[in-house]
Amino acid sequence: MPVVTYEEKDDGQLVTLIVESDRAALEALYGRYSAPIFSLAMNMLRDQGAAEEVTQDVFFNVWRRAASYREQRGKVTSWLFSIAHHRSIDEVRRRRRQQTHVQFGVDLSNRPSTDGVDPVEYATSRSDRGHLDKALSTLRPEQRDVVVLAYFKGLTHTEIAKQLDQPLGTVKTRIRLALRKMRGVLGPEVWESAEHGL
Amino acid sequence: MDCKEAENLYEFYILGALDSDGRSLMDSHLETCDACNERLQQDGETMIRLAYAVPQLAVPERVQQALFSRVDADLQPSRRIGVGARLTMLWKGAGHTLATSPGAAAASVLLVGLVFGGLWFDSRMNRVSTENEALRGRLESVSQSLSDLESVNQSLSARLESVVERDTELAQMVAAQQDLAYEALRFNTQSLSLLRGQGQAWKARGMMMVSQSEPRAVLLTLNLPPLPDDKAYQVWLISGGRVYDGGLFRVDSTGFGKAVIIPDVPFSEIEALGITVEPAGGSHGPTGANVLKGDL
Repeated sequence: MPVVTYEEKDDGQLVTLIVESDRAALEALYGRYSAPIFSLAMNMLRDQGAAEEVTQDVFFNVWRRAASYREQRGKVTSWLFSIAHHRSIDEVRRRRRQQTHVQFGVDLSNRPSTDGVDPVEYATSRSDRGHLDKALSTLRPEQRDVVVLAYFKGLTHTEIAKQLDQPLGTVKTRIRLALRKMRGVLGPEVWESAEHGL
Repeated sequence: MDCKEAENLYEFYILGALDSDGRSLMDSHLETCDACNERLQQDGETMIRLAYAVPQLAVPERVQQALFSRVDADLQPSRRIGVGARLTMLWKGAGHTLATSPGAAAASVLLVGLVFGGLWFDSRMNRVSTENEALRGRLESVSQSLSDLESVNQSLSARLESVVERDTELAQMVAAQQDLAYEALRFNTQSLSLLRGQGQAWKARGMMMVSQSEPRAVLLTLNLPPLPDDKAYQVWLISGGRVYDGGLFRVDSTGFGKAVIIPDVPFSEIEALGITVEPAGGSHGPTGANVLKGDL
């Protein structure tokens, strides 16, 4: 009988093993998804130490709460990235409440005081035109703003409405239209290494 | 929360724009509602792809080490045998023997005596065993506390290492700034132009000081990312809609750079300055990412 290695098991099988406290199964899941989760946290937090902590917390959460995964709610990746995104958002909001400002170097120009580079500017001005630029640049500016403010900047819907000076209903419509457009733009080629959930 | 309320908050939930209370309510609703879950699955895929679309980075090894220290501390086996279960089994065995003829009753009395004697002895043994298990439990608890402390210690050591690294980086930046201030004081300056970082080099800063006595300027930069050997920073001078080559320069490991600029046109005619990333030998015109710019 051929031996199936952990690398050959799909994500659902790994989670089932993690429920049984299988450490090697968690190692395999970590090997698959730690990089994109860390990258997402870095993109949102712009702080390596915080991103490392978030990554560690996400997988320890998976270790402790693997039994809470429900197949009917979607793939393991949806569950996992939802945990990661929520954890990152919670950290973004916690830092905003603390209003931590770190600024290096001599401020030789009249640069407005913020807690980091503007995500829209960062997302659209990088020299390497990646998938993120491609996805966001296909959105109308008002749709792009709500996606960035919500997904990357961690603002709540009321904060977004207040910042953009728009009603909640308008913000909701812009998100809906942005989601519809991104479904088509962010095709399978973006997601090259996450086939194990199938 | 019912489906109508969930429908109202769905878009905000999918992008993470609900506060923690709203998110908890949606999570609870999705535990039981198949219709809402089906819609969530499709958009969940899009959100995963959005996460993958950000620049992908390698995870430092220490993250895995710290994680599995916590996991190992969490993996502490423990087993206990109930004394009550043992007594119940003995009593059931004795009761079966008593349900027989008188002749067997005498034997049963003897047997009961033996059983109770055995029970008493077993009880003593159980008490010793219980005390032994209690001590073992306390020992395990202390071991676990030690493991937890070790895990916390490792995590703190990793964080301390990170802080020390950042501290060193800060000290280098401060030293570079002091060099820049010294150069500015030393140079016989006619005019001073400030440059601001662009795009990925948003932290960069620059200063161009035009000489009062000679047709040249000194350019100083801070916080520009060091480049690989096949790349260099190139200065561009913009005048009358045309772009002039201002020369190439490199930065040190702290991002501090210095260049002398001797332009083909008078400084009085130069309107703006930009710096881009180009091949090591330079380019005829700007081709790479703009990292610094400013008006003269």
